Amino acid sequence: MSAPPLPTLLVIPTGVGCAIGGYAGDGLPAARLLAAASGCLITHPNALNAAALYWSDPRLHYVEGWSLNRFAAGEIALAPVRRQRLGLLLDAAIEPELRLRHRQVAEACRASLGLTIGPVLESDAPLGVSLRAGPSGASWGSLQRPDALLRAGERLREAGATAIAVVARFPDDLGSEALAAYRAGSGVDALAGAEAVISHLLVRHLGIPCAHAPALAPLEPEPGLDPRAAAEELGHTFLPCVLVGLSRAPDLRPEPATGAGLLHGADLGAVVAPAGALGGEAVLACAERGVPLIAVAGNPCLLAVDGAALGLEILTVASYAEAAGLVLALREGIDPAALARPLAPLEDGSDRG
Amino acid sequence: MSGAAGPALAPLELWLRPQPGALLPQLRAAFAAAGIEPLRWAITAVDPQRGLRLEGVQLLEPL
Repeated sequence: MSAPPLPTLLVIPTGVGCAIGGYAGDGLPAARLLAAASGCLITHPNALNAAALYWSDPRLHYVEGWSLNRFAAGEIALAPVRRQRLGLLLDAAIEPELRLRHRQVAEACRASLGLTIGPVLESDAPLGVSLRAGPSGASWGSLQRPDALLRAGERLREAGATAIAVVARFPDDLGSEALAAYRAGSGVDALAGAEAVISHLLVRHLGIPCAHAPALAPLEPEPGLDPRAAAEELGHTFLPCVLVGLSRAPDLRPEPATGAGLLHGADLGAVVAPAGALGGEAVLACAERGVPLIAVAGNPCLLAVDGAALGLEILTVASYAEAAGLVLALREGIDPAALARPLAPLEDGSDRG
Repeated sequence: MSGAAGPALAPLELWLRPQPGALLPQLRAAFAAAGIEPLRWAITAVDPQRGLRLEGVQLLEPL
């Protein structure tokens, strides 16, 4: 008999060059393993999106980063659903042929996967995506016209969409050193930061699940392509994984929320994050509420913001396989300290009370 | 910046010397004191002299 699920949060920060999960959905094997170990894994699109590839598992909850932060802080609850009605928001800057490719992905997901999609609409102005690296080297990015994004999102919600997939035209980076490094498996995903800004804006404004796929011109084949970046070179768009992920993304309910089947931040039994990237809002919120924090040393990134630097109590593991073992131990009620040696003797305490 | 009335986005960078105790309330207070409405942020460096570097994107007008 297995123990009840242990709701677990997996965070792989976007745009900081994580060796695992910093590319094209290459965090997915770790997410699948942690979902199996915990029975209930809440994670964000960056960990799961692999362009034309995806994995659907009822134990995996697809929650965009802004709402993930609010969930971890106990400000919203997650309400699992059978399906979402997906609105598709296309940036007016997308060229006709590329726009057609994206519409056909939506048609394919309707016809071949049975997803509920529509309406589809264009923003009333080009969104004007720009890319930027911060002082740390992390990718961020911006929009010239957030107003156009939010208006289009409002129109989709008013038309009945319960979740929104947004596709923005990103600057083509053909021939750049950053892109070459990323495809070779040694760089930061330069698009990821701006993608997260777009989805954060929409979710914050609309209060429904949203996720983003970039529209880009196709790249020339690269014989030296790193396997972790390969998923992005399979097709004409990065949209299939977003539509599948959103199709069963949980609804967002402001706390205090009541009802059967809701997931609350207070229910979290563990949070798993790269050991050098513990300075994000969701991880800090969990740590400060006493949720066991599992720091994966085997997922280096360009940051060195670790438990010691932040004064956080952590359980350090070498790999996601070890993290999954620890999650399973917590799920089964086994004290992680009992699994390591030396095992310190009990301390004498007061006998009062 | 924005081509129409409405919110605008801008880079965010802030250094903070943390005091003992929970970090998040201190970070939120630092944002508020600096008049920053953060959209997406993270601590991206820890420096013995300057403290914590917060990096990200802020909203220049409330939505």
